[in-house]
Amino acid sequence: MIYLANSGGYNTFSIQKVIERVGGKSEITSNPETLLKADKVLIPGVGHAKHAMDKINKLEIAEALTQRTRPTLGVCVGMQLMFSHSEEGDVELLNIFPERVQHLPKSLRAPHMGWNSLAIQNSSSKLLKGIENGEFAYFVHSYYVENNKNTSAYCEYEDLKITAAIECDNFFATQFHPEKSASVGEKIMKNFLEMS
Amino acid sequence: MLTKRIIPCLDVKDGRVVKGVQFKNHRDMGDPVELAQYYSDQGADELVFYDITASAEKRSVDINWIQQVASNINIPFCVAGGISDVEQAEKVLASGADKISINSPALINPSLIQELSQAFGRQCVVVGVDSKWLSDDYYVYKFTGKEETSQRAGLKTTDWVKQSCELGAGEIVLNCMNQDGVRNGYDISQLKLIREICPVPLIASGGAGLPEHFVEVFNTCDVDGALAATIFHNQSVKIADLKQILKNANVPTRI
Repeated sequence: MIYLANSGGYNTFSIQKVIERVGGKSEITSNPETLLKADKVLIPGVGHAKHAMDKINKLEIAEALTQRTRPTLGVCVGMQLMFSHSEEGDVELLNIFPERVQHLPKSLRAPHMGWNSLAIQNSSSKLLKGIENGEFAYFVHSYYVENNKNTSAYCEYEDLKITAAIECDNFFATQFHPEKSASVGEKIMKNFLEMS
Repeated sequence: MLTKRIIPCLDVKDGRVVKGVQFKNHRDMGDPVELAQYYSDQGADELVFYDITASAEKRSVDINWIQQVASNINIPFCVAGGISDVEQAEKVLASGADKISINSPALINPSLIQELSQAFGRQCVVVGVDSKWLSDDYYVYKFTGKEETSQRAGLKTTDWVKQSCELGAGEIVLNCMNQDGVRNGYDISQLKLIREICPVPLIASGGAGLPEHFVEVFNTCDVDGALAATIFHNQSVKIADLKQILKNANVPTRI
């Protein structure tokens, strides 16, 4: 069972469906105890980082999410919530990863929308197992995190290297949408489902 | 590298996919879920479902087929047609659609673009623009789902695109009406003009007849995606073949 944190975001329907398609089950919860101890937790998110973080604070689930020791996956804004701060709404985040979330440079067309190719940086990534360099994933976002030491795959948007996927210990995240990334996304969801 | 998107548009009327020439004589081409699955398997990058009667008849989209599409396909899709408030948009997005496209309702109430963008983020908000050349400039049309309701909106296309982006549109789909259904190529001069003033992703619509038309529009207009319907529905252009042609022409393409 994968528990989805009830942190808002309109991609929950599609995320639950992709979990179903790869043979898993899911449930949405706001219960801090469940979110702390569950075998698998996924933090969804589409929309605004501040709105999502406000919801997490209101539900008092921030501590449960950050204290987890079991596999935890953030998707899109759900990934951004794992960093320290976002320029979107100037908000303090969960601080699982120390980097900051910034707006795309003014010189680039925003949102960064569409299929971009993945450059695999960590060949032993658990989340990206079986994903080849150059395979495509679907992105849609205006805020981003720079490529950093925990980045497992990045994508290039003009000259910018954007963190596409990141992992450290039990925390995993993707800026792209695995629920909309065709077979690549399904492989990633299956990897998450099968993690021990 | 960010790739150019190939987007089949499924015009939906009474729950069935239709596409007529110049918006007349609609012909029936099939079930939305079945076609969505087919295009997803073929390598389409995204789908647009346009409920072409919704705005004209003042009703909103039915969400059952949206949920079915979202349950069965694993690529992004956008729903257009009759979405005129935040509540309706929320239902569509919560049913698994990635984006909502608004056209006539935004012309009637431009602040709707802002409301939707604030509620869901601009990446969800597509503004569809039906545009036609009239003697001296390109002008916007509304209620184009039916010939008898189609009318001028009283705005120049360039002004409306700029305003839409300022209000929070995350993407513009420019439907060049002079070209629609005639299959002799995208409206290159209009798309070039709009590209210059459009800071968000721009999707070309109307006029695709041959794979070369896609190569031309990507190589000359810097659009982010190209939309077509008839040629995909009648299989005169297969998406897998088209993508190979694009790749051979050095257009960044997902294969």
